[in-house]
Amino acid sequence: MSALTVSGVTVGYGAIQVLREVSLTVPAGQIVTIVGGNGAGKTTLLKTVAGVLRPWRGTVTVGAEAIGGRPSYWVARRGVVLVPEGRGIFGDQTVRENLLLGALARREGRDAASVAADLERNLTLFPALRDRLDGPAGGLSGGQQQMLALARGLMARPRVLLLDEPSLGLSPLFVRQIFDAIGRLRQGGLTILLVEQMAAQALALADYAYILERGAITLEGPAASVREDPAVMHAYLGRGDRRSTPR
Amino acid sequence: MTWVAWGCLAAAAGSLPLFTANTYYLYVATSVGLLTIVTSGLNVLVGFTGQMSLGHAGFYAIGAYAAAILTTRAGWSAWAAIPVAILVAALVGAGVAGAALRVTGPYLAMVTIAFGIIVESLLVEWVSVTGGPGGIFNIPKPSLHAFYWVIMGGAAVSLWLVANLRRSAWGRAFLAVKGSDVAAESLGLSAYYVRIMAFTVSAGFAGAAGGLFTLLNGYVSPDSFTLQTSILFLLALLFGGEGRVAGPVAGSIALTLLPEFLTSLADFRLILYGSLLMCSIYWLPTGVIGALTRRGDSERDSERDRDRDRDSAGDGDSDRDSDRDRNGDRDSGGGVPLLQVEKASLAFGGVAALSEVTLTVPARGIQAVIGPNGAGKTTLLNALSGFYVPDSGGIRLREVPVEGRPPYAIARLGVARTFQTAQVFGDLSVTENVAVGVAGPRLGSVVAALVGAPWTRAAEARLRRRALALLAEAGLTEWAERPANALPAGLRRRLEIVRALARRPRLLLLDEPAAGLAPAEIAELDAYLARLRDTGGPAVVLVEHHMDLVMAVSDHITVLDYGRVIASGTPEVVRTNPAVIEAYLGASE
Repeated sequence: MSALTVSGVTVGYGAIQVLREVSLTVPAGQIVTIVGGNGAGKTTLLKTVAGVLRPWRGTVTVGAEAIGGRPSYWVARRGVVLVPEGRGIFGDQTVRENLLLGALARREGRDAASVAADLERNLTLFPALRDRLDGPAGGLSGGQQQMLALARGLMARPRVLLLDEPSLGLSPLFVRQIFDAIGRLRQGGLTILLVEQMAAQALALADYAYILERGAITLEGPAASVREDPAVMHAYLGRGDRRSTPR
Repeated sequence: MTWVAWGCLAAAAGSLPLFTANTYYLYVATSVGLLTIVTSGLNVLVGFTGQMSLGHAGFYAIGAYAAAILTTRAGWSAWAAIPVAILVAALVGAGVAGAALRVTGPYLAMVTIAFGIIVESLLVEWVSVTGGPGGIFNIPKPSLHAFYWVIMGGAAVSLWLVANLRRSAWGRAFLAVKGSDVAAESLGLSAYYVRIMAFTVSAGFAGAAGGLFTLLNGYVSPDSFTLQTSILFLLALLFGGEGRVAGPVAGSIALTLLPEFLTSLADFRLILYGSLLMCSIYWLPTGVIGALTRRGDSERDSERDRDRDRDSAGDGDSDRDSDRDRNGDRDSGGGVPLLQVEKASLAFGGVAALSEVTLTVPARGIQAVIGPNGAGKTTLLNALSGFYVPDSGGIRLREVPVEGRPPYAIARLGVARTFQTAQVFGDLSVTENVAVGVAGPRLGSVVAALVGAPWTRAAEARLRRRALALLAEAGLTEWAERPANALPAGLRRRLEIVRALARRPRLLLLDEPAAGLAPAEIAELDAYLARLRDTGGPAVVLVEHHMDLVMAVSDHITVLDYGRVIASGTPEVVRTNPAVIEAYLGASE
């Protein structure tokens, strides 16, 4: 059963077309990753799924419901939650307030007890946030901010979590912690669409992978086989990823 | 397409007096012309530089009264009075800007409202000079027909001047300050000074229109220079399309003609007028001209791209010369370290971001600074480039203490940098972004830029060639004519590096240049940095998390944790340091 389906999506900005007839599916409970260079359209694809951009052509469906072209708040309430590139945390509000704002998008379990229980679960997943709970989110280090962004997304009880470059600007230790957390979320049954430049780590974590080049899917397959593809190894797993060769 | 539109406009303006002797039509047309002159100037401040003024009726008034007083009391001719009106308005503008531009954005808008009110009150109260509420009468007045040509000519000249300015180094500096004032400062531009110049130019245009207004009417009184007038100026600009040369014309035509057409609706007139303006903000957020040109731009871009590609091919010579200059300059540095940081400490609200950091950067080579998120790496770069002032300790650049100097001054000493979130100038093309770097603080005369003097044009062509050559080296040629905000994140970083190098810096500070790059792209960056080092490029301070890159290119690594230097040495030494493994790399590295 696929949780998220993108079919034949063409989209761009103004007159400039970025994606051309992109189709992909994210099965429930799996991690699907999109690998591609800068300007390939990965962020554009996530923005289109999240309702930030309107597809020019093509459809996006979650479960049986069409979400393509709907505004982003509407999409978020259907359980498709984007953790954007650059985190987008609310720096002037406390960590707790940021997390509670995340819970606004959920449709069920809006009572205080459920929200408190989820808050507790997320703080267990990201213990570093617990100590800073009532401090301003803007005072967190980059790694903690990324954890907060992820935790805030989870507070919405997403059906599908869209992650845009969760490792961006993080030191190696934090990168490992973030990827460990994503792995644990997968074990918990969460469906994730992951865009990540650290292709080796993303492929090691994902079930299925798509290669996006210049706005079109050029290769797809189970992550383990994509990882062994010679062209992918050359273009995306070349030097620069020694640390994380397959475990 | 554009030229056809301009041609039609000129033909319409030129033929109007031939078809009608009705002074009402001519008068409405001259109103359009005057409003075009004011809004063209205001466009420099609002559209290019991104600052609001709600006090331009004040400069309009200063121009108007200067012309009135000179032609009546001093008996000057109109032709001598206008230049003086421009000069007086510009000088007052410079003075007001010097004081008011300590603040920007909404605060500046408030200060300018206050200025407008002060001028208005002065006109009423200072009876001996301004004639008080009644104003000044009996100003010698040329015939409306003759003056029609003067005002239309003035409007055309205004548009031409602003178009020239937009294409010049000044125009790019204005848009750079609007796009990112921190990045502009890091390239040696003083954002404060650039804004003052924009304000001064816009005040001069308002003064010119004011002077013409006086001579057109034969009298002036304070009623013409209220806050409402200032608001009309701003509205006309926003309605037409700020930041675009043609915007002021479209806005002036619409906002002059619309009320005239609506006069028959009597009491409903203002309601309808207001509603139209509100709708225009909703449907035409970039103004009439913005909405009309959006489609055309992107089509033209691709054509121009191809032209540029051809242009930039045979371009090595001038560049090689300048490289020689640069090397000669750098060698004279001798054995003195380029940069010395001594016990620099900096705290934010009691939290130490840097404590007693000591660092020496030699004149060549790549020095990496690594450490966990929140260790103070970016704070260090901000201190080195003047955005933060250390609480204690010293920073010396070639033996000269620089702590406490503003960012643009440090940039002028040869320090260039990039930012963690790439700060590109979104409204400028990729080439123009680099050209801002090539020109740096050398903007030349603003008057020469306005009239498009031949030597400015020659300098422009040189800047452009050099910018294109630099873009070609970095593999960005295909993006050259795109607006910088159309670049994907990774290429913005690359553009930022090219722009910083265009300054020919002695020291280049890179803040996480590999963040968001794919491994293959990191390999390219690796090669690019190595080439830079091997071809006599600047010394580099590299803040980066991708350890493969750091280990491959660095000559020396400094490790920060909680604002302290916890290790320092060659890559091999640092890699095996237990404290570094503990704090940064993680145990299994």
